[in-house]
Amino acid sequence: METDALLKAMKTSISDVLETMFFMPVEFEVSGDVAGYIQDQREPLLASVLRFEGAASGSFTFIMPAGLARTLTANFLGVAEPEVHQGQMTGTLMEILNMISGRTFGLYDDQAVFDLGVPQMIDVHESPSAGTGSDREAIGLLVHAPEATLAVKAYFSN
Amino acid sequence: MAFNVLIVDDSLPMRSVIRKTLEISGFCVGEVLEASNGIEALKVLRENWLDIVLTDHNMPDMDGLQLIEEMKRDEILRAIPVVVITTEGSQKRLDQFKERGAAEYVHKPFTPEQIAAKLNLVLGESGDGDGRPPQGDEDLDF
Repeated sequence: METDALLKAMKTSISDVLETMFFMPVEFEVSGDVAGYIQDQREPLLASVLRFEGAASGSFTFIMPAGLARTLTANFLGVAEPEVHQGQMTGTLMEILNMISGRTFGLYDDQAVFDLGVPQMIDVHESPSAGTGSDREAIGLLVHAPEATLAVKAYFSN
Repeated sequence: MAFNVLIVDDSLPMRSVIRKTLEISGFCVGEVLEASNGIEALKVLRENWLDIVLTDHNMPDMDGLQLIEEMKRDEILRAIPVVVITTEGSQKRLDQFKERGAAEYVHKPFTPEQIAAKLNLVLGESGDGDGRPPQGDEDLDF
């Protein structure tokens, strides 16, 4: 995989998804230090991983503070924040990851076929890598939104 | 004429958003039913009168392509138009949807206008809508 092209596709994809469906403007920090981000967060984090195979195999991981997940979910579903329950938050997080992953590959190479798995929730506090490769082997992006910072990690095993 | 719609997606939030999008799309929507995968969708289709299916592709148990194939094998269900709403970025895969019988596809993320435009294309003038959301105080936010 060509890292620069992939990074560009990831940024465009994340902007498209969060701005089109959540009306949330974002700015990027290509730090790669997703482990540091996880360690520094005081708020509980929600994280989802999506594994893929095909033209390349690996995974995308999407991590966000629980408070922001609640706000995004409330906006997405058009309900008040106190009415949002955990299942809706995790469902929204997994759907965001699903959209970001598919759009990234479409922008990177729309002639290649990637089979996307079904997103799974993971506990990044217990296992920061969670089978998705160390930060050294991955592309890490910190995504600054008005209310909080999210992290996206792409890992390729071949 | 109101159109009965089946939304097939394993994501509950996404089903809610598509339902909401339909409500503001300007089409005359009748009953809206939901299923979380292709197997459930076939069951709903065999028990109800539906006019159009909006389906995700990437779902557990039976995906969108398999659902289309099953519908095309069924003498009654084969006439129901299917629009695939997908994160799929591969042009080869998108072409496959059409080859197997999908009427149209819509990329996620989508806007209400994009959904309305595809419904307009598939259902045509009989959709009772012009593909534009109604004027007034309707909030287009998801």
